[in-house]
Amino acid sequence: MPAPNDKPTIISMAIIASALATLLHEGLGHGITAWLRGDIPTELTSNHLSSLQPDRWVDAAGTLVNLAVGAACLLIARQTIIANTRYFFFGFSPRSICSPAPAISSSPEFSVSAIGTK
Amino acid sequence: MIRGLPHQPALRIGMTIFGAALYLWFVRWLAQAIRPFVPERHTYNTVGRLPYYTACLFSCAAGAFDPLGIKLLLVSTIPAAFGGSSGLLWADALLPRTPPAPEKIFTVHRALIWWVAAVLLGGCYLFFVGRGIQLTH
Repeated sequence: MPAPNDKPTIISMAIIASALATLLHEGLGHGITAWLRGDIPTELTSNHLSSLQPDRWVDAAGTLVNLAVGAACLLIARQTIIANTRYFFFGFSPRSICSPAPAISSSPEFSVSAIGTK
Repeated sequence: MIRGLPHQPALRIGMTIFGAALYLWFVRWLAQAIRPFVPERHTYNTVGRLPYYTACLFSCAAGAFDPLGIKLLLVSTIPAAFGGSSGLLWADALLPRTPPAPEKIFTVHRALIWWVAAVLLGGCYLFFVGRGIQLTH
């Protein structure tokens, strides 16, 4: 009978994975792409990254980064032999791949009243 | 993303089908990857569902501080958090039928470094990112 999994450690890993996935999506995905395309990011929160100009590539980049990182994590998880590390990469991949950021625009046209219409 | 492009119905239908197929494929892949941690079916509650609920609640906690207000939390953060990774809730249905060999069973061991990292990173995330970071003045 194998030892039981340690729940506090699993919870800790889930919190880290959740935070990192969002930071990757908003910061690296939307933020860096906006900056590279000459846009000016104005605000970063756990829900969105606001920028001055509407840009399809900026909108898409968050999801594309999540897809790439999530798939890479799953591949790494399958190759890693250290149990905790393997489990973290396993846990990080769905947080990254399966958690699209809230479907709101990063453009200044965005308003709370428009949520769900874009 | 597709606003202003022609053939909106076809684009939307295509994106929906592609997204659903990709999601299902990924959850199946995920189930294969987690199999060594699930020697018995009930173990999945700990290694699959527990992190799902934890991450969802953490996302909602961060979303509660968002400067755009509670409406954003209700119509955007909560659906995205609970719906986006909901595949974790039913991924055990796609677990490979063959149980892992005893020597290939993995267990998450107690590791304080993860606890400390979660407190530090999670706390900073809630306090700074949750409330919003102004990037320009």
